[in-house]
Amino acid sequence: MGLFSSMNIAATGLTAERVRLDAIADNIANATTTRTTEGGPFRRSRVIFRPRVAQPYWRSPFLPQFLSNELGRGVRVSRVEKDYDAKPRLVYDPTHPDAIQSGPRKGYVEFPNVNIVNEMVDMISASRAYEANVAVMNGSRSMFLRALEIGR
Amino acid sequence: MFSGSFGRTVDLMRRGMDVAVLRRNVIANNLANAETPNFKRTVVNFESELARALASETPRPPTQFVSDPRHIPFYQPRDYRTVQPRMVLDYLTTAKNNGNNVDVEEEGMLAQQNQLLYQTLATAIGAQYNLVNLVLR
Amino acid sequence: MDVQGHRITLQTSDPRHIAAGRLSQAGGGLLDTRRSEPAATPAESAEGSFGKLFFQALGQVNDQQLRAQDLSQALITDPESVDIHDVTIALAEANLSLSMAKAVIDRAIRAYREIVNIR
Repeated sequence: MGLFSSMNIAATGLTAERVRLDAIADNIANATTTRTTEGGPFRRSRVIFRPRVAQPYWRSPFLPQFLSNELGRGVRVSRVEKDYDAKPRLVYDPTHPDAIQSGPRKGYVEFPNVNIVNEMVDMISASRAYEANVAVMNGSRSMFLRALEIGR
Repeated sequence: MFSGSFGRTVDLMRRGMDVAVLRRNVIANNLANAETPNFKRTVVNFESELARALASETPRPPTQFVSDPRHIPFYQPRDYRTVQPRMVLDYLTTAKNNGNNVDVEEEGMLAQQNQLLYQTLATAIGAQYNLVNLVLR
Repeated sequence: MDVQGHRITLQTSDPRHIAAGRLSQAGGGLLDTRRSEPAATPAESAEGSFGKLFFQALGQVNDQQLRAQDLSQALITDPESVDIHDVTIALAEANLSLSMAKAVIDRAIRAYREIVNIR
């Protein structure tokens, strides 16, 4: 391909994994935040990855993705979204300042739907992916340097 | 020093090495300011402009017909020696919360690529001069 | 029509028809016509004089040098199109072909001097 294509691709992986690690750190730090500026409890963030394609515009819509046999260009973070699917945890504590005042759930406090164990496992996987990308970059760099020694 | 294609190649590679040194300083500045609020990274633009200047030397069809030599011609060939590197402030990429748009991994990767390109150019220039030495002995 | 794996050669009734030999791959890729056709090997042109053979070979050495220079130039102007091993292999080939040509020329000159000094 090009001179530094594998290094570029590995760098996109590094950036994406770091963003994911940032989101996980944010989730863990706010695991017991009961009130945010939007009103409800803290919602955990999720990072959505998409592959980076070589030609982002002017692709024929009739050509399916799996028929194009060109290499991708790495990964990009498509968006960071709040996870509104899981319901917040309810804990009964009428003395809490954020307890619900009226209604059928009076006295309950809504805690975030952050599962610490899931977040820790995600963190381990993100750091392993980061190390793997660093290994790719080191490998391509050493290949480059070996190629420079041809004919020396 | 030499005229013809040999001198041109060596001159081009030497300019590439000069720009690599400039780029190294710019990347070091970006990395040092990776945590400064409202800092925008700079990039060095050189290779694309050089490629365009080199491509403008071969006249493209259709050949122009100007009725009077005082008219401004369509295709002006540009001397590649007048191309200078430009440092451009990159304010278009997304910024972090503190207004900083320096991506540490990308700067690190650019630094590595720059270093490898410098080594490659040094090797290539050395090989070109070795060719001349071959014939001299 | 001659089909051989992925290569399909079309049979044309007239050599002036298009694709009488140029569209020789089923993928539709055109042949790379930028490089000049490699000259005939010395075994095939045995009836050529030594001088003609020699200048042909020198032309090839020159082509090799120019190719090495083009690739080195492409390192800067168009890094996406070139691979690093292509560049270094081309440089090594240029070096080797030039030193071999120099050795041949030295031997030829020495042989000429020997012959001239026989008398």
